[in-house]
Amino acid sequence: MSRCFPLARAWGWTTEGPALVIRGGFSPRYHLDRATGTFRVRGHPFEGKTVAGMILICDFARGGVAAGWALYAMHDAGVAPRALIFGVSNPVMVQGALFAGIPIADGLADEAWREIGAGQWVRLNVEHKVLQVLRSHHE
Amino acid sequence: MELTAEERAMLDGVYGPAVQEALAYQIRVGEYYGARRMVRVSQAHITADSEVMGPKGLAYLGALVAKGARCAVPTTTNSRCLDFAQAQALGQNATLVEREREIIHHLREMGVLVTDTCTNYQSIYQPRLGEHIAWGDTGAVIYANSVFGARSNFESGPAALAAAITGRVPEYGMHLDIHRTPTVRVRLNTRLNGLADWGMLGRVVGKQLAHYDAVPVFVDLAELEPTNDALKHLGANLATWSVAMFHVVDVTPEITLNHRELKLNQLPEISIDRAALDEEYAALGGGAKQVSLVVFSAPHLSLLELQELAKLLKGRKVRSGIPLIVTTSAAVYRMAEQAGCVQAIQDAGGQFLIGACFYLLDGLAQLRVRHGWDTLVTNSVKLANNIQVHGFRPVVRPMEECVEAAVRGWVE
Repeated sequence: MSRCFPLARAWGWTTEGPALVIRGGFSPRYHLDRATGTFRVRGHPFEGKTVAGMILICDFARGGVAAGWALYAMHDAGVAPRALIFGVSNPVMVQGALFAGIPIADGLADEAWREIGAGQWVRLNVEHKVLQVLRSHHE
Repeated sequence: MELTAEERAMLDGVYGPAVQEALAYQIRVGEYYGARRMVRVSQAHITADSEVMGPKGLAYLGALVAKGARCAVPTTTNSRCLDFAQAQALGQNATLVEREREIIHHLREMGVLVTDTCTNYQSIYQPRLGEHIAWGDTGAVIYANSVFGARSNFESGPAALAAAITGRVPEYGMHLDIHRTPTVRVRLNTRLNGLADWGMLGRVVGKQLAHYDAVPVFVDLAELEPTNDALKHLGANLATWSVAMFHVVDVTPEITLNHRELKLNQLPEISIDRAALDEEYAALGGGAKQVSLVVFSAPHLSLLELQELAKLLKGRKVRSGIPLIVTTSAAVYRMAEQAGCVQAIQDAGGQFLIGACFYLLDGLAQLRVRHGWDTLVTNSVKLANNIQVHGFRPVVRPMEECVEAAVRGWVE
């Protein structure tokens, strides 16, 4: 049985995929090699891992005005996340996602952070503004 | 959203496809945030460079121009990913340099003023209290909201471009009074020494808040008599954590006008001491190190910062093999040249990148490897934050210690 977590706002279309769960904030400019979609900061918990095709779930969006064009360029290069879900977003991330055509949501409920982990298969249901945890990635 | 008759006509294509598409995009953003209407802006400031736009962004810009896109309000550009005069010497890719020229060509066709600076608020335009603008550098936005009392959200490249074309933005976030009132009180229990400390204060507070709706009010900074450069570094580093506005009691206009009604003592308080700042200095790179290069950038240096740097470098020589790089706008560079600061810095071995920002440099990770750069010393906390992704090891020190590091070749 899947578990559902409410979201405050959502845009795009319903999509599902493997979860990439990040704590401590996210910004394409601060964290990624944007040509490949991989984390490039030394010592980052996800160093060397890619965001491509993932449902990126993060506690908060960080600053940096780059996300607007960056998400568009990453989408074009096929290395963008499949969807972006934040606890707290910011306008740059929202503007960028809408421009690039990447589903985005924010206001993920606090209790979700105890339940959602890397490798789980999740669905962003935009119409009902919920994040569903469907199964472990390896099931 | 409630649209005016003019906006309905824009959406119906009466003003052409570029305006139609730009407004439709803005409405999507506005609806996401529950904006009730659009609000007119007096000015836009856009990020548009090849490092971040890529080939598809360039193609989009070209298509927009072909559809007749023109600026409806005065529009300026943010810092660029290269200085054309230095790109070859630095070893930047010729294809990317050519792409940058194409971007600039398209921007000029639209009527954009290609100013190339992130400190437009120091050298170009100072919006008044309550003025709605659409700025696309987060450091510029927080400065405008906080120090001038102007009103802007963080506007990404495409969003600021849309605002330039339609002359308006969706009314949400920082355009509304409710999002500008203080949410947390900040007390400082230490002295601040130089701009690096001001930047570090922004980082430490920003890291604790990390929320676009957080608006800190600093209750005891007025006695430190902050300069506009100090507030610039404070704001730029709050903004890296998504904070878009701050107040300083008896310094910034909105809190000074309204604070008696705001009952600040009822807000939650965070207290910052020297240990908190030192912890972040250490986290960004502590210990003695061989220096690869010293960089003063992010935000662009003001004339007064350049004067200070020129004084510190007078009669000194930067160690051979250690670049000392300074970035500023063309406008400030020209003034500094006239004032003799440029010559003094160059005589000591310093180099300028005009209109560029160091961390935006196209191909920076590859340039780092090619030049064998590793440890970068700077007084900019924002630069230290942003260059780690390119493989640098940053060390943040006050400007005078950065100069010593450049001369000696190592940093304590």
